[in-house]
Amino acid sequence: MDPPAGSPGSLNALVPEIYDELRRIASRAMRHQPAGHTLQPTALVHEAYLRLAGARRLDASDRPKLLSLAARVMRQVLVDHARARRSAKRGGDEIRVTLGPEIADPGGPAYELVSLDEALTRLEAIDGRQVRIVELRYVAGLSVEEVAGVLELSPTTIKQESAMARAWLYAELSGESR
Amino acid sequence: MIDAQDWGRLKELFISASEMDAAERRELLDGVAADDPGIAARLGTLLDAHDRSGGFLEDRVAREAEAMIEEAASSAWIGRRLGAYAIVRLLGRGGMGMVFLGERVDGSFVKHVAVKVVGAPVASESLLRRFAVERQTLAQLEHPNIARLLDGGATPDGFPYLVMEYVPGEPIDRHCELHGLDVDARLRLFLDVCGAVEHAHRNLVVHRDLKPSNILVTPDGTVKLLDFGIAKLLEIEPGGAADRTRTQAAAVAPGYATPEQVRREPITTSCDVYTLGLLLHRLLTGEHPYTFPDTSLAAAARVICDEAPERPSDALARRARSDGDPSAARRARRLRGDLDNIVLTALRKEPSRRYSSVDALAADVRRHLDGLPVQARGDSVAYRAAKFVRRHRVPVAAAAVVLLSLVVGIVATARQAERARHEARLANEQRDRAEAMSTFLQGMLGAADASAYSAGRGRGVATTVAEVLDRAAERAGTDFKGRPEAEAAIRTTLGKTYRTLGILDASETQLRRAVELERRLVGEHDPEFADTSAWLAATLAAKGKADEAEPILRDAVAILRASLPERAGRLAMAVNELGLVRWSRGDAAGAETLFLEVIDLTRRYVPGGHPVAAAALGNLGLVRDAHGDLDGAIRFYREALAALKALPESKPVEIAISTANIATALRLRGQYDESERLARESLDLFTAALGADNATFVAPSWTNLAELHRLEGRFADAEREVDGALATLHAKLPPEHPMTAWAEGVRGMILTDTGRAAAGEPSLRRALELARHIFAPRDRRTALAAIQLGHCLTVERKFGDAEPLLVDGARDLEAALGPDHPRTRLARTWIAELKAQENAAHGRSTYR
Repeated sequence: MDPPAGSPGSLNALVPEIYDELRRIASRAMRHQPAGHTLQPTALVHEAYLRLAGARRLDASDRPKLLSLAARVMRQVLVDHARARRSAKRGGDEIRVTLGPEIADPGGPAYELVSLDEALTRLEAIDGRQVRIVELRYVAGLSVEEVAGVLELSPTTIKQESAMARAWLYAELSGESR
Repeated sequence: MIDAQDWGRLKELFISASEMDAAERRELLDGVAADDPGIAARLGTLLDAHDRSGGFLEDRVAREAEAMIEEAASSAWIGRRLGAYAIVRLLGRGGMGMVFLGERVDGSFVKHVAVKVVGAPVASESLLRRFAVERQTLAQLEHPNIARLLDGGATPDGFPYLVMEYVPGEPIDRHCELHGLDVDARLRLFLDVCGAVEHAHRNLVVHRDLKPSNILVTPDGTVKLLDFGIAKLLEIEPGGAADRTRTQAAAVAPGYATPEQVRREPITTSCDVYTLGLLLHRLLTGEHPYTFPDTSLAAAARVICDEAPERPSDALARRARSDGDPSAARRARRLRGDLDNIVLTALRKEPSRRYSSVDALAADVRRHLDGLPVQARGDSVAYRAAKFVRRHRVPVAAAAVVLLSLVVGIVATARQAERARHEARLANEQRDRAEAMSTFLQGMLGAADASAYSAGRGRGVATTVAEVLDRAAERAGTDFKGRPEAEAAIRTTLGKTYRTLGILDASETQLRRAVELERRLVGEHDPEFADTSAWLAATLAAKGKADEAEPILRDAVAILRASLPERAGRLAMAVNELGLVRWSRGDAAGAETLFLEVIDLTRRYVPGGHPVAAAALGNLGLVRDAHGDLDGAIRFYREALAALKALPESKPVEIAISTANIATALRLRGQYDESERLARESLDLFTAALGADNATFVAPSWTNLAELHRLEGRFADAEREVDGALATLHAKLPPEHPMTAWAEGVRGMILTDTGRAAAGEPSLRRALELARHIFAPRDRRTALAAIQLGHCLTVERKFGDAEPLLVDGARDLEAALGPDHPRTRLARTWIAELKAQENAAHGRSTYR
């Protein structure tokens, strides 16, 4: 994936590091937390961000860029994972059982995220800003106000743009077989 | 691919359309289609998707993230052997650990099992004990609807595990939806669940965590209860005896926690009666009976302990309205009555008021299925009122802490911590200013006789609070000598509190003094001065002195607007007040603009929302009401109610106002039963909050009830009610108050309807005179007073005087409310009656 436009090179160099950090946090989360905890993707991104920002003594002005970057990488990490799950499943005869949200069938259909990623790539060609907003708001889990802060736009604009992006993506994906 | 220009146009249209209702959207789409059908089609698709896309992105992302985390955790277990079973793959994670699909490997026969392993490598002592208990518990339970325990033990490295019957199936709620089961079929499934729970209760086991995801239905339609994860032996435990158990740090999802779990009271079988009530509600409506305003535990605790659950039939009726789904409407009618009462009885907050056992609940459901009368009854009004008073004493903060200890699954993010710090800073600033004041008030409150606070027995809370305020007001001058800032602050607080209590003269006195102090301190152009003077204006407006209030509010709004974004909340409140003043003077359009500005201001400047936004929503309903759009009005009132209930603090007076407004709109539509129910609900709320002798809200509520009873022909009730209201109004409000005008009108109509038109005439003349004095000349309220007097005069056979009143009134009502509004129709009916009577009189006189 290309780095987001406008990111300074020094931060782009962090991409692999963020990637590793996200995966490390994910696996550590399971080992060190009492059973029953759920780790939210939001927390993943924030934790990765805090570690990197802390380790590098990043300037506060880098925060928005780093958050954007972390959101992008998070998207990539998830898509990679979904792709791997999908190919792993091609061979086996999968017996699907649904066990509800608590005893959840982990992950749901793997192509969900892959197709979402593909739709986002199509949206990128039309409206890159909406893709940034989706990444920050839905992948990194930032609030409307926080996204507004990162992108230097008004919260109203963020709400309107994300509503449209969400609707567009939904319409794009509603054709997929579920 | 769409080009940039079209995309820009599409975006513009989408943004404006997403704010519109269905009819307006239709209109917009038609307009666009006329000149660019391509864009119109795209817009249509986008808007459809917009309505359905809520939450879908979050869900997809979260599912994948969870899968990633699961995988990291479970990979070490795949392929391991535990006793006679091998672990094949992860099925999911539960409250206590991970659940794997296992296979029997001893070759005797192929059999799938579910293997439950405590997930953490260092399991805590208490977790291990719970696990042991579960093993013992499950082993006792043999029932066709309970998943069987097959084996249990510990791995060589010390992980305890259970091997259970593998249940391929779907959660019961999803099963019902997917297969489109009708109400009877759902009830029968529910009875199967009850049977299993009852069996467990007989074995002294309380499930305590009954929720759809723990109740599966297999492809052949068999119900299976899973995961007696936190079930605990009721009476006899391995180590000793205890007849009741207390909750420990158990993993209960907040939506399924019971009030007694939140309050940390003893857990009995009644806990399962409650959760079965939740389940039944979900099976019947597809929804949860509570709306949680946000994800905070404090909010969840408050909702679980204090909020009334939504009636199942109301949930469906609401959906029928919003989706226009006729099957939901049908189902709502099916649930109304018996099934509503069954669910609400199971969901009562106090265990002692629920069904005495699961058997009793099941028996009632069976009676309903057999068409027999059920035992469940709705709560009485008196009970609900008493409950409301008690509610103020529930230590919500304490409950929240308990819930925090109950619920596992919280990851404090950096974001939450940041927000908490921000709030703490704000609180600090406010504390400094408020400290002097609260110390003072606390001193005053502490001085009051403690027994005076045992409100609820006839004596309103307000009485005692008012006494305390009077004492505080007396002492404010001396206690704050030489500290004008503190004195201004305390007088403002006193003025505001008096106003809420409807003691308007005292409120005006205190606020005038506060304004005077501020003027000397900071001058007339300071936001602080504007802030205080807006409070004064609000009191003046409440006294019916709109003329005096309006210029003060205009100045205050101008000053506060200039200091944005500071004091945005206060500005919004002043704008709202100004809107109310415009509205009371008949300028609905001007008022509407102002109310919309309130909502915009709070959206823009007050993150997390502000109660005044909810008030403005309700006031937009008033505007719709004034335009004669009753449906629109009710919609706004309901939105306001929802917004109010979502606020973290409880707003009984505001909730009562919106409820009362809905009641009035329903009365105008002729839905008297529902109107009466809501009118009484709001009256109870007002009385509990403000005392029985309150003039601003309680007395007008009695007037409304009197009008309703007049319309229903219950004249004796109506007369008693309106006389009571008038006594309070005359005693406490200035004579030219709109509420007095309205009450006089109702009284006059009651007398007219009961053959005492001559006695009613002075009341109606007085009402019309007041209305003419208060409102704009052709205001709908003036017009209503005119036709009421006209009708009275018709009855008195003073046809000449009656006619102009009726005709002009009808014209003004039609102009204000439209030709089809109930009031316009009423005016036409009365004109027809006048004509008929006139003709009859003439006929008789020529006859003679």
